[in-house]
Amino acid sequence: MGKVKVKFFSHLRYATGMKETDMEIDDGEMLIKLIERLIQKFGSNFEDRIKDKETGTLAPFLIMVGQEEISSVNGDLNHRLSNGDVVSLLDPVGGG
Amino acid sequence: MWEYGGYAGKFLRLDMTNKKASTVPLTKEMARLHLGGNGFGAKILYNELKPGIDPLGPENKYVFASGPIQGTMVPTAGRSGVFTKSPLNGLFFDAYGGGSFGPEMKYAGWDAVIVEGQAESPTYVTVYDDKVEFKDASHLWGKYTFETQEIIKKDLNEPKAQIACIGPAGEKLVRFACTIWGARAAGRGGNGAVLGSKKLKALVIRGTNDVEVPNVDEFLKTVSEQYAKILANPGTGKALPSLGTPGVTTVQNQLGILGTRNWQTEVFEGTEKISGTAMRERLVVKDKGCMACPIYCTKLVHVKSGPYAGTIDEGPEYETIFAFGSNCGVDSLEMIAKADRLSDDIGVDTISAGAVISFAMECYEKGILSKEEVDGLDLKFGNQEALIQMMHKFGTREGVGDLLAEGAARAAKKIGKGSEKYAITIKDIENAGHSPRGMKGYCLGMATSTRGGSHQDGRPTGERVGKFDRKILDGKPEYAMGTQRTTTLQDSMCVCRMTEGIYGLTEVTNDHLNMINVVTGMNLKLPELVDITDRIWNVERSFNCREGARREHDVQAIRFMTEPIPDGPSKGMYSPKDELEMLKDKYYELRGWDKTTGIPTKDTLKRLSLNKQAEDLYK
Repeated sequence: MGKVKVKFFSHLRYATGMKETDMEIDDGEMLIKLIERLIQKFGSNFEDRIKDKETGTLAPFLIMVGQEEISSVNGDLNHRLSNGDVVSLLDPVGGG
Repeated sequence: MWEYGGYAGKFLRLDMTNKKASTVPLTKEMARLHLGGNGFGAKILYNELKPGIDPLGPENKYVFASGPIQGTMVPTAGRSGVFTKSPLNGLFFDAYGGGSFGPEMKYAGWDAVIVEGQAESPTYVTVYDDKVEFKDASHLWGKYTFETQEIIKKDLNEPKAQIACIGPAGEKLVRFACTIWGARAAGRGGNGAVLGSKKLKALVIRGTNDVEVPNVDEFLKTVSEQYAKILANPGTGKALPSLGTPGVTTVQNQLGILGTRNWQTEVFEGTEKISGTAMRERLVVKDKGCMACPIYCTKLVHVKSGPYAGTIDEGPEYETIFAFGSNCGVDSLEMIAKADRLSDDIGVDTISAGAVISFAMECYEKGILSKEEVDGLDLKFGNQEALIQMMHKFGTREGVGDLLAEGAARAAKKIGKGSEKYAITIKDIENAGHSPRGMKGYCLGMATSTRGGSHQDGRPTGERVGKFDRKILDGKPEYAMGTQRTTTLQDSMCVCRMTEGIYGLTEVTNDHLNMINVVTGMNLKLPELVDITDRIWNVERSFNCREGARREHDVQAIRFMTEPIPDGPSKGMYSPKDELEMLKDKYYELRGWDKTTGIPTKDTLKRLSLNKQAEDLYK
């Protein structure tokens, strides 16, 4: 068992109503499992902001574990988390 | 219906010198080879402008143009473009705005309006379908843009008219003046100064025609599918409706690529105070969408307290938050909203205005500009009141406003003392709010783009969302060319950048193709559509090469090529010139451009049916 800090940015912060939250993890828990548990915790309003509703797949966005950047679409979502990691969820916005 | 669906089938030519209007028929060949919007603007200006002319002289022209989809229900079809030779750099420049001006132009029966010559006195022009009138605008000269629109609507009793106009900055030939319609801006490149030079205060349009498509049922089916995709996508269905583009601010900072204090660093300690979430909580009173758009990314704000209380503003967008916020060291959303509103009122581009001020702030802090030289202002980073006073000076050209109204690159040449390296410009266009140092593909795309410091050709999105690794060089020539193809196509269709994640970030897709075919009935194939984008891009490139632009002009701002980002998550990243040159070799090869000169090869031009360009560039 361990604990990671999850930081939300942009509209994910707006959807969850918080800038960050602590999540307990199993030893060596994969990043993708943490994301699925965040979806369970925050519900459809969160899920619809990171997954395309038509395809059911993750939209492209960056996840940072510490300073390492992991792509939601072609990065290593099997990355194993460690106790004390800080996981930052950025956002899938185009345009601007 | 005209030969193809979607088009009105003709252009309107306005001769400001002689106050005469005439009709230019649109040809099938023009529509099929150049599509619309960006394609029309580039083709018209290439054919009709002589090289070397003064952008602010009577020989320059200014083109309003739409694409085939304007006036239909295709998502984001409210957008349209303006095209001219830029007074900032003397090169081709295109700028776009949302709202409803483009559709109204189509309803009036025009795919484009070409403005040429120069009037002797302030003039505005009304276009009601085929009826065109030149009117005296003496009473409007000097008025802010919103007031101008209100007066015209009241005078003409036309509350639904669409009005494109300039403010005092355009009249005073500020080189980064813009065109405003409604509360939307065709912001960049100084197009407002070109209208000012022609003494055209406003173009008023009202139309009653239909826009026809070949098969309504098929059209509705395709459009419905696109609407569903937009609403299902987290970016366009959730993020942009919630926070608009300001949502990106914290993301940029988290990645260490948020331009701060004239790009001296790319991490801003005040980001949380100017974030999209903060704006939503403190200032937003209403969400708004452009015509035919379900995204509703525009945020209307109202400042209720403090020194800027009473400010009502449509926006600010992310670019404006960067330009007046982090890049000027300001952490007040209220002041940013005030500066944004002032920009629209006086009619200047927010990105360039902010960049010029941040340039002056750095010069002031480094002792290059004295307090006397900036009219007694304490022009330090973060000084909100000094920033607002500078904005007013753009509208009047008083004092230091006259120097800075020339843009950062020209101002630096006049100031000297090594200030050139603090002018953060690419091809003399002030850099937008995305980091060439922190995104390798975007860096190359910008350097090689027609518009230089605009973020609308080299695109940051693919790298910022992690679809492409922003830190590596592999594949970046392909990325740069791919993003330029999609932006050229979006700008020729005149759809909004917000859809880039839906229709295609780095390649021309069947989504683009299907929308064009279902509106026009052209039955284009995908390779033909790719060729159209390459043709348009090469017309722009040929325009610039004819003006003398060469490979050596495809570079980044001095700071981005010589100073690594000093701190934060992207610490150490920059774009050394030899790295950029290596990427350019591969990019030119992909483009079919001469590696030594950067000019499109004769074979490339002929393959794209650009025989005139081949003759001009290889005399």
